[in-house]
Amino acid sequence: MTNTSYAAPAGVRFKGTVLSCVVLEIGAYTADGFARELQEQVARAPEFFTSAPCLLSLEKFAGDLPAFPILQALESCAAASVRVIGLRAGSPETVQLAQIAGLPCLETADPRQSRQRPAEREPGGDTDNDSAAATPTPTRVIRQPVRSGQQVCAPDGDLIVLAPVSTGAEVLAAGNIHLYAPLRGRALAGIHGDTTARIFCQSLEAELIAIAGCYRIVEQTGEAGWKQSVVIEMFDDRLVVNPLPAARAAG
Amino acid sequence: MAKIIVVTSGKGGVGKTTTSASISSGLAARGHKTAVIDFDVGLRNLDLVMNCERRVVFDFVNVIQGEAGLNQALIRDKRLESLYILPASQTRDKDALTKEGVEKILEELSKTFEYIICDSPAGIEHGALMAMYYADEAIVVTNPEVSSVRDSDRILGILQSKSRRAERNEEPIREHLLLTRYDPERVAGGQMLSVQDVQEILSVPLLGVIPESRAVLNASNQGIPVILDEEAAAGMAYADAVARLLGEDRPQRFIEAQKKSFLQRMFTGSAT
Repeated sequence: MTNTSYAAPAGVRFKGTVLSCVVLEIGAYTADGFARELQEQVARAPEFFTSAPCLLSLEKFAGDLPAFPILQALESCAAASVRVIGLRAGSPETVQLAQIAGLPCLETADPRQSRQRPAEREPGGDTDNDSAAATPTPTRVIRQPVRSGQQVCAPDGDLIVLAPVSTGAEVLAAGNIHLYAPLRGRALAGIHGDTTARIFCQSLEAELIAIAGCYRIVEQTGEAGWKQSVVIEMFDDRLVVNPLPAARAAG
Repeated sequence: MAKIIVVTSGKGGVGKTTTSASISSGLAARGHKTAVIDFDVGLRNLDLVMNCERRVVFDFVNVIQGEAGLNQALIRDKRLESLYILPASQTRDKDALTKEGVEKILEELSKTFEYIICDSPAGIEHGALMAMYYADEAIVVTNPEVSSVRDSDRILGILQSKSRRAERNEEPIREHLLLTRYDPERVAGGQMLSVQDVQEILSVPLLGVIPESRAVLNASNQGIPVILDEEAAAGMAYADAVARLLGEDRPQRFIEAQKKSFLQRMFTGSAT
């Protein structure tokens, strides 16, 4: 639970945090084309871009990566008020480019990769060995009600809650969230960007539901699945609320 | 070892002090040696409800700061001989309460008392945290109204995360829900949350339901804890709650709307 402790205040403290940021993917690059395209995109939602941290991704860059004019690209970004905080780590060339630019190279999970991984494993057939080799992600189980103002997080795996999540409470998980009681607060699954994460809940009365940063609030959820047992999943970058099979049979 | 019970709610004006006065009086009336402490430093009220405001010499903060002994500050109730009141200071602020100071006083009281009732101030700040920190049990006072229920939910979360029991990973504080100012007729009319509604949201065992009653305000003004008014529904409901707190099984008496006779309706029609 996140309630900050009462301990003596420390002057300096390192803390871990999870932040969502914009990724700017560069597929092709010409100095003029890049600057112009960037200006156009930013012009559509200037507020959003000027305040949001941005990560450059060159994984889809078609050209000669070591020769990529990183400094020039960064100048164009600055001109368009896009705040680049680093490069997404991909290949050794990216690391070199980051060094040239004096920016950190960040390791981030690509949601699409995590989606593909299980599929890649299947044909191997040797599932027993495979699951033993991959360390199982820890699941967090909560038996107490999650009260208003409390936040419960499963930063590496799934979260299971056996008691109600109150209005004003927040449950987060890197993986799926399973709720065997009413969900009245907020539930955010796939907080590291796993778009295959799902939220299962016994009674959907949530203030907010989100998967991999894509969220919906009560007003948008509307009547669909309200106070019913549902599974919430992501299809084509949209949240879809479906009744659970048992609920469907009963209803 | 005394049992320390905090009376708390998050929201103000829901009946914490009224409840503290009645529960402590009820326990004392049944022969249990009880102390009730007003934690609302700066907004002292309990002494008024208990009718001992003219006998306050030293207070809680004086004892914490070593300016007076505990026995000098404790006021013995005039009606119930096993009941003692430790009043709050009206002139200090809540920062005068320290964890160490509160612990020392509670330890000293624990030697001679069976029950210590801590009347918490409203809010979730320092005063409220101090009142709940050492508690063994908590009575969460809630009105059948959405904002009160949400604040109670918040305070329940804090009880389970910031109390000493939580910090030491001991058995959690035992929680009781006390629904006050309950008006069965307005519930029947759909204007007020029902007992079931509140319990569904808070999922805490129900200690009692105190009906809305004119006797409560009258009793407060006269400085008599309403539990001593044996004629009033609210007084009887508090007596039931005390019995349940002591482990007795009592049915809920005041949660159904009374069917009024024609004459009653004629005379009390404007009351509700």
